[in-house]
Amino acid sequence: MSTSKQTEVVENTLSISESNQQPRKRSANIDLTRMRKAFNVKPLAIGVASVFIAACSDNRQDAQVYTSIEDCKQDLPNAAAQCEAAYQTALEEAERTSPRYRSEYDCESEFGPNQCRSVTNDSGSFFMPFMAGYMVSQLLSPSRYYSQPLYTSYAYNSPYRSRWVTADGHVFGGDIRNRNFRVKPDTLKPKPTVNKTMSRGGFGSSVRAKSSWGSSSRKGGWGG
Amino acid sequence: MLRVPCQPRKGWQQLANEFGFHFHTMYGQPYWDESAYYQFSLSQIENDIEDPTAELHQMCLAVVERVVNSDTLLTRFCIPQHHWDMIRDSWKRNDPSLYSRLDLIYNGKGPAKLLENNADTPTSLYESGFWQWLWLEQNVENSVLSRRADQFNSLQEKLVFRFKEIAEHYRINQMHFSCCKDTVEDRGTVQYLQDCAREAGLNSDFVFIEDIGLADTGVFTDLNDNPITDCFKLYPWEFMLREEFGDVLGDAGVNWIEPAWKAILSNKALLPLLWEMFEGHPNLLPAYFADDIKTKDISGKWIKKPFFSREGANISIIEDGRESELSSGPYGEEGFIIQAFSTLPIFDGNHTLIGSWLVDDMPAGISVREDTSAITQDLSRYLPHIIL
Repeated sequence: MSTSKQTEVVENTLSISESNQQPRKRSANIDLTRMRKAFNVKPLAIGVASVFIAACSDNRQDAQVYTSIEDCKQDLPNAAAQCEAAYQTALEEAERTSPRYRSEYDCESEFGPNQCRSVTNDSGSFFMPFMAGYMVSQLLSPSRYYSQPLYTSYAYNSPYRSRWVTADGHVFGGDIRNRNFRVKPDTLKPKPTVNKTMSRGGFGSSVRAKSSWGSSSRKGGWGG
Repeated sequence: MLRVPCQPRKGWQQLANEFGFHFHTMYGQPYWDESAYYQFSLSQIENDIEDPTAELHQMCLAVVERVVNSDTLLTRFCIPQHHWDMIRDSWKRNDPSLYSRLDLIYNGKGPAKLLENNADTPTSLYESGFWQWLWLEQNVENSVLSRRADQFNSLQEKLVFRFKEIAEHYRINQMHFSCCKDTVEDRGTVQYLQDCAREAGLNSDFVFIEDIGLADTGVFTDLNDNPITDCFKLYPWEFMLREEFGDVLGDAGVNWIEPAWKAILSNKALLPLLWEMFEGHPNLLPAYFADDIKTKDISGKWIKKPFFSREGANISIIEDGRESELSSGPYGEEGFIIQAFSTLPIFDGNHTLIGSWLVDDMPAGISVREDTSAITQDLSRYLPHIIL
């Protein structure tokens, strides 16, 4: 859908300058359509995402989903050790990054009956879904492989029902029988630990301090 | 190098509005000024500005290499000791830089002289990379300027390309962008970088510096509690290192653009170090640490500046040993340097300063700013330029 739109944009590109004999010292093409703004600078880049997804679908890499160490070993008989290590990595990641719920009820309403376990650690007690599988990529690469936990839901109303989902809510296409994917690199990036912001305003105090000085300067910014 | 009066484009303010250039007039004073332009020859650009810019940048990197490996120099540069490792690591890992701007004194002949290196938070980027480009394209189209007229300005092209490299380096497709509240100019500069990042296929999220949060997990967060993992900040390292969140910078694990090693380049202690290592280089002005001049010959005229300052604050002039203050301000507690006084060239009564841009280590264009004052550049105006 966005293909035709993009073609249109390219055709609209203003290309005024003719080609000189000499290489030019300035940017050759700037897409004016894309540089045009509404009347205000928007604080957030809303609405860019769809174009963006279409634009960079080419640097994907292969990834497989396994539901157990055995499952992995069967697929890769020569990589038993890696299968186990990747499983361990995924388990640890799950502990750190999986969605957390205050009550078993909340967790089960998202993931289904008996799909959640209770966990108690430094941050308190809560419930998280069981890891239902793990996604690996470049398992046979000597330098670094990727492994992350995946979840699925058995709850009727959940958007995750019978689908693979990552800790940060990315839902993969197809249902859980689908085991081979081509994913963008960031899909495989380690997920952030679930965050609770404790404080804000720890940056910017120098600005307040220095701004209170004088008014001779017209420049309000901290660029130079 | 000439200053050529020129008719402003009809309705350019309206066009500026459409393109989101909201700071062409600031505090009731014109900032973007197209009632004239500067004209350079190709050899002036290539031999006198582009090549020296590349060389000066390499010399500056040599200073960084030396400073990160010396506790004495890190102390001299007033880098807080608990941040030494972070800065060293960022340098040794080759954390990628995005851009910087060297301010040069140049009058059309002879070697350009490095006045300062704005390596950490340079602004006037949008005006340079896009707006003066558009000015040239339109004036060529309307036959106001020769079709042979060119401009030393590949900034936007190079910024987009550099964002692609950075995205590959960190394996990311999203980046946060940040600057302070209440400054249209900084916000506009950052928006421009977001535009360039978008052209490189990066998704961007914006958060004001003052709104950055710290999570229980030790990461920085935006206002949606999303973690900040990769972030462009138009905010000086020397501030970040000393503020409350500075203490947790090391654990927050952010890939910052500009990287932490830029704290060394954006420090005016760079200037005496450059002179020490490359004394007599045609593009350098003699410079010393202010507390180190007993043994030096400082006859003649010198400018004294704080290690860290903005907007030409806290500057004095020293003439035959006598110091007189030119501007006051809140800076200077960390120390001062002195630099041989060199006058900005005057064109039609204006003091003219060249900003020479680099994207990573590649010269990428120039900006020309004019000021009524010889030293402080407090009320400067931006003028476009051409090569002909």
